[in-house]
Amino acid sequence: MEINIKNLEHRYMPDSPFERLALVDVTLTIPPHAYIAVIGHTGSGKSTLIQHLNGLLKPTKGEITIGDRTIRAQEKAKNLKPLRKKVGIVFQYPEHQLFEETVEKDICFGPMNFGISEEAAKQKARELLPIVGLEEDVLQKSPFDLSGGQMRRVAIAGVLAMEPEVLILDEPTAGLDPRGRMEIMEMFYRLHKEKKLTTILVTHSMEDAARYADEIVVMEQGKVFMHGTPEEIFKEPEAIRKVGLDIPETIEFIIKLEKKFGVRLPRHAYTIDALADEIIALLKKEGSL
Amino acid sequence: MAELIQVNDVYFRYNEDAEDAVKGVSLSVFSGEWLAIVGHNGSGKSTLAKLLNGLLHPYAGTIAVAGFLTDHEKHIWEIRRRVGVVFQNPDNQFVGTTVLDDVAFGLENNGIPRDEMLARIEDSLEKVKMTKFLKHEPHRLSGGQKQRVAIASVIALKPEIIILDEATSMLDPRGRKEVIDVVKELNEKENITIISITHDLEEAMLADRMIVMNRGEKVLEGEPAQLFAMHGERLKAYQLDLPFSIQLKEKLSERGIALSGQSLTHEELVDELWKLTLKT
Amino acid sequence: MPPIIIGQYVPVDSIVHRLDPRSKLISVFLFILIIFLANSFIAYGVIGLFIGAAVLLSRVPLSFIVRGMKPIVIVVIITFLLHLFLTKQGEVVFQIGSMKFYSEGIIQGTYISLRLLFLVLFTSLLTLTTTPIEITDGLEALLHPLKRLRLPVHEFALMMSIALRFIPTLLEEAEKIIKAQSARGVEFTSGPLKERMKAIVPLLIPLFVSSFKRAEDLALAMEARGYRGGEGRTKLRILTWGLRDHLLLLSLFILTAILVWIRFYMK
Repeated sequence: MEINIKNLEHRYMPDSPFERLALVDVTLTIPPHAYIAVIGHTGSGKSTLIQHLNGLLKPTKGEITIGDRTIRAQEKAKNLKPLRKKVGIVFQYPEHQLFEETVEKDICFGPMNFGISEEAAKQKARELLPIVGLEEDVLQKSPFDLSGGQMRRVAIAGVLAMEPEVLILDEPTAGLDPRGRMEIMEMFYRLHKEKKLTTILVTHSMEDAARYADEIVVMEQGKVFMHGTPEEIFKEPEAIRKVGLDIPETIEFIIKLEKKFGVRLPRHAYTIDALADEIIALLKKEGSL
Repeated sequence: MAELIQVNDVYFRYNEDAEDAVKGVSLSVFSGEWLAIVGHNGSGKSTLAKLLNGLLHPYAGTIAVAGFLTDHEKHIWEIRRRVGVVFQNPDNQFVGTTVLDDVAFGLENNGIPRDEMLARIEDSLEKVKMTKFLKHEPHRLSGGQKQRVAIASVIALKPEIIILDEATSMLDPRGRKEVIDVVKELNEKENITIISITHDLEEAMLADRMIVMNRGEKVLEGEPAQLFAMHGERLKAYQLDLPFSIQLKEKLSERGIALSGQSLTHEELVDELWKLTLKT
Repeated sequence: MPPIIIGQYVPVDSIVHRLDPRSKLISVFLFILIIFLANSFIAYGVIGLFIGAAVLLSRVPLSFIVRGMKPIVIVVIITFLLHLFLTKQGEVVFQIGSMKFYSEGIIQGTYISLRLLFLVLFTSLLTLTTTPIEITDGLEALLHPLKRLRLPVHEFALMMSIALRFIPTLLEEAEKIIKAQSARGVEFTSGPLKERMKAIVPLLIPLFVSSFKRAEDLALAMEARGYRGGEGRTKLRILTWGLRDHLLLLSLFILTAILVWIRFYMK
């Protein structure tokens, strides 16, 4: 499903003394099955942007097309359910949305709202448990008896159970420890590939953006500041630093290598493994291996 | 360095049927140092933090802060005045309706006269660089700003020790940096002892000393750089990450390049690699 | 995040804003009593002038005041119409079909409507010029003597101020949960009423759960900062009763005197 954003503007509380312009003239095309990372500071407009993609927010100017559905600023947006079924959002701290008596009921809540039978939803819940890294015996437990990390996984399963075609992740790993963070990010990446999803990751972590995304969108003060493949983006480390964002540590290391060795190196090593390979190649070229 | 906190063979569990959350931990905290306590979620590190200023009480063992015992009813307020805590959630520890009121709260509790209160509020807000926000309500502040106000509230009470109980884990990178910078300054200039409970290893690297917790037990103790260099495998088994440089050295040695020493900065590593090319 | 307005406080600087919340609270209380003295157009005129002066002095933009009055306009109209239709005293002023309208009905309807309008206007002037926390402080100070009766005045005030502090936080939280559940297919704003009632559950339970968590965290943070009840506490916020507060009360006494004179002695 292709997503087209045209001249999108969003004002909070228009025509009041508290009016605030959150998005200015954003134009963006997200091809089907792409993995896009949206990166920027708190207040850069990235969360506002993604909430337009399933009609939680309405544009004050411009329009958005998601598949066959178009939402325009001047029109009333009616019957958003089909759109919301297709576009799932995992919000920041998603465990805050849990409310049912059992884990099973909570996972089934979303799909059943969209008209899927209880049987099918329960089946779906059971299938999802191993995917999000939970044991089957949690199904009948209260979600509030689980650990924080487990609650997060239940909440994620609740969104995945709706079988969205577009998956939006709003800082899905905030507050987790390093191990949990990596497991969750890897899981989303696997799902992205297996289910051919369109994935949009909102993050502060340039590391994650570089590692998983096909394209990176850098937001700054409600505007698209940069947009390109990770390699294109990291060609201009100065521009990124200027808006106060970091570049991945592997890239920073490569830039230091370039200076010391007086060479140009490709900037696509986003894991430490890839960086090590890059270094080996460099040493071979320099004739020291 | 003088010993400020003494933890002696402490056991704690949340209720009778539960497993011990802290098991037989003994440790010392020295005046003026920066101590990091690391471990994955559920390792007992946050429980330990709450034991240190008597918010929780062990069922066995003793904890003494500057000679005051935490299990002593009368001592508890002496201890809490000396040990300030900045908690994880920036919203849930903001008591006042404005920055000014929030910093005043602890001072009011301790019966500080109003004139001195005003002086201390000004002073502590200046130290965390939040003077401009005096009249701001919490919902108009960023996470990092709220945490800095929390630190101001703590230092207004002139504590000897500040415990950061995962105080940066809910912040964005900018907020994290703001908080860390302030803490560094307090440690260096004001000589306040810092205990940072964290799973962020970059943060742990800033400490003079590091204690690793796993399943309620203290499993490692030492200088961060040394622990990372020597006990990498064990740390990974405790579900912890290793700093970038250590990981890179590991990956290089897998590929047949052994780098020596404890080079931890990028520059040191790049230099070592450069030297390899000179040998041939 | 959209900004959140608590109460209707309008942050401008004026003599009314600078008044001690205690004098403002007392004035509102007095006003509610003395407005019942008025039973002639002259009396209402005097009160109108008094309120007009207060509004001018407060420097609150008229648009805010008008906006605040909107919800009660309907109540005022209904009250007026009730009097108009139901009162059968005095002369018939005019007639539509078989419906007769009496002079007493028009007069009483106007009085009651004016009384309602003035009451709401004067009370909202309090909330427009006084922050909720100032009102809390004022109440705590005024209720202080009740401490002797072992009423938990300090705790009550602390509760109020923490509630005020957390209203915006909880509104933000509610908005987040509404969005998260909407994304899971809950319809909060459309669909049949029964469905919408059901939609409250997935909003309220998470809101309660997180509020309890917040309360627990907050209690811990308060304890860590040495909170142990009202005993031995000093206060940062002090209320200062100045000349202007004397003048406010004096003006109210004069108003009372005028109203009494109009009611009982003017012929």
